[in-house]
Amino acid sequence: MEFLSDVTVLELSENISASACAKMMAALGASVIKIEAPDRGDPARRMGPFPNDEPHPEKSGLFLYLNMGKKGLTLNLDTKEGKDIFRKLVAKSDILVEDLGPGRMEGLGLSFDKLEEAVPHLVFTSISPFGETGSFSRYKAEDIIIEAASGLMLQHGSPEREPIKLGGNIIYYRAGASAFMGSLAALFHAETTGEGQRVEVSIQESLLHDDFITVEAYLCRHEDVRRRLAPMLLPCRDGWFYIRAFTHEWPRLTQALGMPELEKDERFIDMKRRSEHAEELNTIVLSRFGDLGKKEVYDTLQKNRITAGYLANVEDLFDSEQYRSRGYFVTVDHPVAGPLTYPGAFATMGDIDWKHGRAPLFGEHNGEILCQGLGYSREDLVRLGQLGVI
Amino acid sequence: MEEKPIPGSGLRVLDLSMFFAGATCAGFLGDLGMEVIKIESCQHPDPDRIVTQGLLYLHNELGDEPWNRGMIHLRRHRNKLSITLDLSNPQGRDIFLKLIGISDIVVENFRMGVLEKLGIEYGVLQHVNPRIILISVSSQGEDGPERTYGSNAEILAFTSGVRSVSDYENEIGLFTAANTPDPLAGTVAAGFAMGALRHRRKTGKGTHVVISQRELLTSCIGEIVMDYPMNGRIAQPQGNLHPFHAPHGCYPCKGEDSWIAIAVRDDREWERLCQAMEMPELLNDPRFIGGLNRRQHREEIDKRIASWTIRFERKALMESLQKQGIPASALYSVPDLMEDEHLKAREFWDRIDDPRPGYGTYLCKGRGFTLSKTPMKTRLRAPDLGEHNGYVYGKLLGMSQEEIEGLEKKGIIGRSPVPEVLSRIPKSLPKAQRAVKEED
Repeated sequence: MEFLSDVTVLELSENISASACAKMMAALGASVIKIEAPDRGDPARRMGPFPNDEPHPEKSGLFLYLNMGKKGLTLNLDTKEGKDIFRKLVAKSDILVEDLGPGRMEGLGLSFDKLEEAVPHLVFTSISPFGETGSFSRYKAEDIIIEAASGLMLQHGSPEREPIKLGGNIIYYRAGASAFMGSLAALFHAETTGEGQRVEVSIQESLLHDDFITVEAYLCRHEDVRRRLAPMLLPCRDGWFYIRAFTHEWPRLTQALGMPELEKDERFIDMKRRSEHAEELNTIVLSRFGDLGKKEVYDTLQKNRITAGYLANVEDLFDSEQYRSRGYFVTVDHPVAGPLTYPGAFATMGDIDWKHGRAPLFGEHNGEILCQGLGYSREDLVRLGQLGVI
Repeated sequence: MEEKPIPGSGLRVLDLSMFFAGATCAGFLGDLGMEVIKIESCQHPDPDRIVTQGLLYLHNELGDEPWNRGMIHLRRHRNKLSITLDLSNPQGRDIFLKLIGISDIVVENFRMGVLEKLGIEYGVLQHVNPRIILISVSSQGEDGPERTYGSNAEILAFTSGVRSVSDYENEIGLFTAANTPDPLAGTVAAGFAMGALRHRRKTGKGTHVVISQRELLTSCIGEIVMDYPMNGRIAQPQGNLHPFHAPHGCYPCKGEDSWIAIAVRDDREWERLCQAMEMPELLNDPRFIGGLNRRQHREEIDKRIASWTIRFERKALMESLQKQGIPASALYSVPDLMEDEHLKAREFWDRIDDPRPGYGTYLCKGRGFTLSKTPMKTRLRAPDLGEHNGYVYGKLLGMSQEEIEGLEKKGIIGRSPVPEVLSRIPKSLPKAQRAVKEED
């Protein structure tokens, strides 16, 4: 039995984050019903990567990855019958997670207040760029806009150039994690008391929550900490490595360098002095490690218990013995896209397995969900299809 | 007074974590109303108490007990109690196991292998209390050749592949990066803790959850990673470029390090932007129809936009562009955000009135999500080191005053870091940019 094996989740996602949230729930055994609009489907279906770079709504890497282990239902929430079906599904669910944007559910007549009346235990989780309330809530936004507005972007990049954003869709996964945590806390509470509630994630706030010391630097000293140069990466034979010589690690680093006499060297006696003499120190480090491979430097340093890293690109992840030995990448078959390799479990839970399912086809489970779940007949399905409800 | 139950009512957490990731996890559990007991020792207090990152102490003053004034500590450890306990001492370990008997969750982020060394690995805990849940926020996961490797946020960004796609177009930049790994892991870990509690309610059994922070981060670029086995493509950093939208970037505004981000997602938004800039010639240029075409000609377009944005103040321009239906945002600095009306209206900041002499009032940031019926607020200010020794050892474990004093004499518990640790605390602090003490 998994953590969420008797939990039913409804997902309405057009902006990645609700999908990312429900993806973790599916991995923990929840039964997740992904609801897509019959006329357009989840926009993730149109975003790549695609095998051989040939776009196909059933072959989007983003869609297939985000929706592993979910069931697929198409449902037109603009129709009365679509709304009725939706309400019936809500009544049989524990969590509803959506990222359609502030006001969308209210506009459909499916607000939290209305759904809660019928289903008091419902956990209703909404993710939006700036939250459901406040002067920014209706602003148009996407990745780079939210990063700009969260303070994150001014922290990222070179001080001599324009700030840059994080790659890919990281911030949507990040917001999905907040939604995951908040939803499970609310679910636990609902199961204790019978009382559901609204969980609200502002992506802007979830990014500002992550800030390291900038808020505190301003509070304590009115410093406005922004992006700055940091010669952290050092070149080696096939890439870059990184050393963070913490105070207690310095003696071990001098050992690893084969120069124990450096330990008491005045130039490098503490963090402050080492950073003042960073160039001299880097020259010494490079004379020892510069000709080695990045993974070799990483292993050598880490085996001497020195906090170090290497700049891994995507290919390096597949070469990683660590990832391979843990079976991090999994191959999952799909009726249209075929067998593909996905990033898999990032956690272990004793003898409880992580569930790796495949993504659903468009409307694949309409029959199962409506007929077996809600008691509609096969004739109803045909009629609903003709009316554009499913 | 009868209080409304909150999600964590009646549950107890032992927080063994140091630094950021584990502390974030345990912090969320405290925010939900659990009784979180942070366990440190006088020999090894949380480093954030000692040489706190950036030497940030409340009101830029060290005070009599600097280890209780670290600003990061004050934020990170609110809604927690504090005890000291030397786990490397056999008697300390025995006391810890007694606490396991009356607790629900343990959170830790030691290097893999440390729990075994201390003799408090999950098997031992489970033997004492089969219902105990252990959340390990680890670097690399519980097994594999790198299981004992250590990391910090920067390293995780490097080794997870995230940094390889979060840089200027096709470059390796030597600069600081936004921090996500630790708080992300702490958030996910707290979610898993809630899942494990649920599971315990059904089965009566605890679980050991081990999160690999590195793998968790890789999972946030999953689709980029999949492109490699799918098409043999090793993703390269793209700066502010979007795969198919343009213009999409960061443009200079009036003032030093002052910028606006603009993202045009379709021809309609492009039309609006051209109108806003009063550049009909761009709109009428057939080369610039469709996102991919604009992306191809981005240098020319970006130059024109930058020549226009530089004339404006960033926040006024943001408001004006948003009013015209164009996705745009000023690049806010954190100080900007602390003054920002939107976040104030949403009650993002917690204002803490700390009754300890010389502490006064300060802000702590919010949590990234809200719960409508069981709001997460700061019930407890961050504790002094060992502040709750009396409560935990006396009241919870029923020890006598003599027993507690005996532990103090042996150095197993205490209220102050040992001299060797104290010697690492700075004697003076960098000067503030201007007077910071708030007058109420």
